[in-house]
Amino acid sequence: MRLLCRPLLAAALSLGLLLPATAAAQQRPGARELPAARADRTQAPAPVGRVELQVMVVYATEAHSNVDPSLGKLAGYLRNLRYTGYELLSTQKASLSPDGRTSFNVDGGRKVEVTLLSRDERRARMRVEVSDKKGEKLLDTTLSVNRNGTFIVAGPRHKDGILVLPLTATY
Amino acid sequence: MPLTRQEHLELLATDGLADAAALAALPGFDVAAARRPGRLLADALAAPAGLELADGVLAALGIADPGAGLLGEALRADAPELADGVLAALGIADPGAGLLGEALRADAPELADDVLAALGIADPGAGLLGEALRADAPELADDVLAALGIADARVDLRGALHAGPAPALWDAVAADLGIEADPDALPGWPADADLVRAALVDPRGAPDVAGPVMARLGLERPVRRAAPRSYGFAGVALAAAAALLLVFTRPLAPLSEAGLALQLSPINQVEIEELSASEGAMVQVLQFDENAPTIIFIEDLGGDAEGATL
Repeated sequence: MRLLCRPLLAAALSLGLLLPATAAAQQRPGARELPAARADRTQAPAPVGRVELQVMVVYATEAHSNVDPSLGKLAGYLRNLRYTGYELLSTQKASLSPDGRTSFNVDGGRKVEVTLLSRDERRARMRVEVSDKKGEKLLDTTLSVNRNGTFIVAGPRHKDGILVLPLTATY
Repeated sequence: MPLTRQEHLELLATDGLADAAALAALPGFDVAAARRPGRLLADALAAPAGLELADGVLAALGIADPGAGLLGEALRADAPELADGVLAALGIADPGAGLLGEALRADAPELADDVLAALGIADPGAGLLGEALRADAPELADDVLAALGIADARVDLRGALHAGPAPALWDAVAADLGIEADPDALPGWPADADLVRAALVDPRGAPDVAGPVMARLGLERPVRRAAPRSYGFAGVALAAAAALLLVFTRPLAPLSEAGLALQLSPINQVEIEELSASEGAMVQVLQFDENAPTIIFIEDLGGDAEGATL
């Protein structure tokens, strides 16, 4: 396991957040929706207002150890990955109302499409789809993030490293 | 209520401040009213994001416990890199540190009400607040206006807080104080922008603002409780802008061309309902600590998948 240092991997495992291959297989396209997921959707709050989405496109590499200051405190978390250098390639923003959809073009012909499903005072619920240059879907997830919170999609290859895509939902 | 001659003399006798006479001689000066902006400012600073700044800034103004610290100490200890931003808020320079709308949107939208109230622009008749908010921070406009009870606001927020923040601040504060005089006529008011800038920005890049700024504000002595009668209203205008920037301005560290620094929330929590990956990849969800941003990592299982290999 090259990506993570041991203590952090242990932490991830202890939190039960590292998905095993079997779980991932169950969640591939066409997999049946979990009852819990359906229940959450029925309890979703009424959509109000808009959400500002920001996607940063960050190139992570082992070729150098420079870290873009634009990453701010985020850099501290990214250092948990095996990469040493983090270069901000672009920052893209969009304003979405509930049921609104937007697409961010990412280096390498990839796309990140975000659909805002709903938001309330505390959380924004959205669907995030990442596709490659051929249009094939690499990732399809539905999640909720806390107000003004950030989550990261990482892994698409870029040059000798990967792309790291922090997504922030501000409102 | 204006000070009477007797009150003026008592003020001099109790404070021993050399320029108390100039202050008390201002038309319409009201000692009681002079304390109100301080409370407004204190309320604004008491919001969570500004809590750590409140004591230092208010103490520098003599509005709070003078033992808590001076303005210079607060700047030096809490946010020395904000010197340019503070200057911009005072209308002394225009370093492009950012607009209120941008700051509110990025850093603390929940504090908008308190800040606007502290600035005295909550008056529905103040102007095109709504238009300015929609231009600068559209996502905040409805909430802010609703909170202020303003249906048809008319204030040019950009003009009030960026192009000419100090005069706009002064108008609001002076109105509350019942003062009609121009602040530049007051002793201790920093009229010389270059001097203030030089005082705030150390040539070595490490601002040491305590002594020079306090001297320019006439607060070089330890501040006593009686001091706000003399310096409070001039300082309130200054500190309102300074505190605003201290609370809301992002650090001025060099940034790449790609964008401004990410303002990472202290809490980042994600609940994943559904998750699927392509045939040739697997997805791992990584969480390094409780409030760290969740990382959804696309792992390459071989073949033509585009994810990285662990």
